[in-house]
Amino acid sequence: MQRDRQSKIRNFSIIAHIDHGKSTLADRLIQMTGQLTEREMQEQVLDTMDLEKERGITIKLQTTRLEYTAKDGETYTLNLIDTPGHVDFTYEVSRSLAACEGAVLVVDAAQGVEAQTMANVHLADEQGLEVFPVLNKIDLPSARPDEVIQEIEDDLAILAQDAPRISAKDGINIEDVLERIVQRVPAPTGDENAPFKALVFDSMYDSYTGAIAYIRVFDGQVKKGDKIRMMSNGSEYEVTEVGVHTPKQKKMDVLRAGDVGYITASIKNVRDCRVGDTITNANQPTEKPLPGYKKVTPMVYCGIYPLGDQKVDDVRDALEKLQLNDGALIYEAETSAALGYGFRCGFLGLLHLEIIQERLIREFDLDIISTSPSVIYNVNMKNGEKITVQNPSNLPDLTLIENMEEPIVKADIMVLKDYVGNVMALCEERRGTMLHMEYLDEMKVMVHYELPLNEVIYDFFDTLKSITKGYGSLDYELLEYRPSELVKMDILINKERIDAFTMILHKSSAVYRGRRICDKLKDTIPRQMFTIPIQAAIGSNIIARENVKAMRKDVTSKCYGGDITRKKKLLEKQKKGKKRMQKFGNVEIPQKAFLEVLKYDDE
Amino acid sequence: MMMNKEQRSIYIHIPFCQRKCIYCNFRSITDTSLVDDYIKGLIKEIVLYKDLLKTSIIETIYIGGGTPSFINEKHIAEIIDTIKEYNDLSHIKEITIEVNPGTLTKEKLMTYKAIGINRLSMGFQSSNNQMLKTIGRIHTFEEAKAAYYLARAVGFDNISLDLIFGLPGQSVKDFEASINEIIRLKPEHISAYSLKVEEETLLFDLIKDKALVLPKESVDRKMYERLINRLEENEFFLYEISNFSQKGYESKHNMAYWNRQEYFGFGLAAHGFLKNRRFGNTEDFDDYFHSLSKNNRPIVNEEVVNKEDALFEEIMLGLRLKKGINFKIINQNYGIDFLKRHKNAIDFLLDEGLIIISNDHLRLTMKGMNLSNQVIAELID
Repeated sequence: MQRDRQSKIRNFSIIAHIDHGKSTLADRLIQMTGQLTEREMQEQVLDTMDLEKERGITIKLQTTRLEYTAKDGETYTLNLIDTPGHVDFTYEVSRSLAACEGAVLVVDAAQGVEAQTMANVHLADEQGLEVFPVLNKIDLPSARPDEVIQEIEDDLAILAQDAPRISAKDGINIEDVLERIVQRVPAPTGDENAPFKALVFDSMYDSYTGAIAYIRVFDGQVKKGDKIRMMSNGSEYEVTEVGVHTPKQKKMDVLRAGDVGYITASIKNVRDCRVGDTITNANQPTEKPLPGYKKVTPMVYCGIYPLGDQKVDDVRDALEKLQLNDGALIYEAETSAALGYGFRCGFLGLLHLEIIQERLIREFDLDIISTSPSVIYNVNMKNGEKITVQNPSNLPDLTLIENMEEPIVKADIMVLKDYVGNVMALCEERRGTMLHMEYLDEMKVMVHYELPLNEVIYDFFDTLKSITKGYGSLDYELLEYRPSELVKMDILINKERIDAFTMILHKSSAVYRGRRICDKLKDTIPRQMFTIPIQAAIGSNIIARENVKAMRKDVTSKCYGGDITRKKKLLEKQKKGKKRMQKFGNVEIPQKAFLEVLKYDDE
Repeated sequence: MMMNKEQRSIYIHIPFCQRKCIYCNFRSITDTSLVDDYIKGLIKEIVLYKDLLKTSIIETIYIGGGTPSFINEKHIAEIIDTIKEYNDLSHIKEITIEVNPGTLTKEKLMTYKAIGINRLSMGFQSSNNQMLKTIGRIHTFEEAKAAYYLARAVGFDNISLDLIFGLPGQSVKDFEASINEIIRLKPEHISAYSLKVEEETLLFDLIKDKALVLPKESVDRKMYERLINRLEENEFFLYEISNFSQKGYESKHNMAYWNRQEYFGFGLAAHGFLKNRRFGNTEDFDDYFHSLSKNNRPIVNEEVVNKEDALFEEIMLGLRLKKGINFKIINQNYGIDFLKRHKNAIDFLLDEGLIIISNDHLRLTMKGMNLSNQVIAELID
């Protein structure tokens, strides 16, 4: 009976390279299975954040349950679990894949196999998923389905001759995809009578119900009133509601083995409801948690400060709200000599940092600036004391320091064999040490490197993408701390040290980076009423210098025909522009300058 | 002072030109078929303000454009006559008309004189004929001089000459030649404007296409410096950022603007300031005629000037003047302590040599004038 029920369930993900049409296909599937009315059906239902739509990437997972009556006359429950698509979120991807039995691989019929196609297939393989391909954008004039099928078979070793040829945009052959999901994705085979065991693959915060855990039930069942236990930390809660997403939230009586859904249990914070954790029944616990739980720890830190008239409390409120939904974000109050009161925030990586920063600016309409990103350094003092520093400004005087240690990561870079040389050059340049290299198949190579994390957090990933024509994927994990010749570089604007720009970096890269930053600041700081020297310094030693030349002329020669209002408007605009800048002494620095320094290299 | 009467000026806009200069983004057209209708409209507009005209003391009138001297002088007479129907102009001190030297005749000048116009503003712009041609002027320097002497002969004893500097391809030496020629003519007043490239002008496109090249900012400022020095040596005194005069010949009409006095603004795209409100007329001929056909004032923008705005204007306009702003009076009128309120900015501006404070006045230095927008932005809230 229970096997019979589970035989009608299919849990799957859609995996694809960016822009190959994952979200469009997901929308189509939802529409085809009639879950939403036309009116409710907005573009890309699953990507709910503006930022995601704009960047075309999924940051936050969404999940939805589809009811589909197949050609065999049976009605199936198809649970679509969406995955995010960036290295900072690889762990989240692996957890959502772990909740599935199969994956639909979407390949653009014009673009063919690309970097992420490969990386995602690799991840799905690791989870032991059944992967089958779908050719999308078949309607494009540049579509070359036969060649792409060959690419899939050659590069990915996946049979693709009978892959459905679809256009998600135009709704062509979508039913083939649904049929294929029913036929190819294995049904779950959990034991309904065993103790309750479920994987948390995502969590969200809701101000009414508390944290909502998105779960895949592997064994047993859960219903309202059950006492549950989080196996990573032993905390216990009483379930207040269980249900599914259709994609609207819909209450259910019970979730059983094989089901995908949500539970709420008055969990105050998403931090108590971690992705990858196993939930069980507190009274009748399962013996072993599901494998793969990893506590996420921030790797990158930066300061976030209110700019101009913005109040520090507004920034705190916004961070608090973001944190409810983002267990990986941490923050604490700090002060800066130049910027006043603000927050030191910890992130998974630089993309995570950029996303949070952009959300603060856009969704919360805040004027903020971010300081240079930093990793955590261990500092051994001459007096025997050991301290950790994640804010470069707090680094003690060098004369008091015995030595410093920086975090080293083990990086796994997967790349096509043609680009291995480029990748090795990049890693060498970033002070990397090669561990070994292995051929995954005839095309794919996995290169293992030890790299200092502070070299990875800046533009490493973007550079990797560009030197491998997009065919490079990166995964990394912390290995250990090692002694390193680190220096603290200050940026002085108009002879004044701007602590927000201070950074710790390796001696060998200080001059180059110092020059780049001075150059960038020269271009982003608007000319003002006096010449502004911009300098990079290590201690009292100036290693780079640029000047923002003084403005010579800013005068309205004529007020035509008594049009005072126009002139007034122009001045008001000018004044407003000034207010949106941070004033250091007499120098006004726009928000953009801080973002530019953060971005590092875009050559 | 008479009871219940307020001092007000009048600005009248004549939006017609024989040819459009390449730098001009002002509302003007070359199609003269609309002139008669326009004057009818203008007269109708003036009549709509008759009650306010009756209760105003009019000291100055300024007829600007466009090129007011381009249209038949009888139209100018009609306009002045219309105003006189509602105000006897018994307090009038200055009536200025902008003239293009290429459009002047003796008859025109005599009519102007007869209807009470007592000041001419002539667009000379440069003494270099090649440059005049490049920017689209319809006259040579020699023709301009001839028109100037003609005006003198007719009896105009208050003439202002306009110069533009920072013209495409202009050197400091070129401009200095223009200055010297102008000085030799001994006008009562000189206005000198730094060329501003406005969008939607032919000049803008030509510069974008690199067909014309402007002098560098530093050259432009050198010209301005040379201008001030040469003129002061010859007893022309800078009293406002772009205006110079012999003693006692400051433009009364423009001073009224800088001193925040009220004024009527008649005509297309004209601006007015009445009863503590600032107005802007439509810039569209059809709208202009349409509004007036329904006996409506052709206003498209209207703003009440509150106390904060007034203070803003006081600073913005006052700092254009050589004498600067009198902060003691500002303190009294607005109930503030100006120096205290802007202490940080003022300290900084003093340090940078952008302003000078003396005798209750805060004024711009030479350097401050070059950066006046920046300085003003520091001193407003």
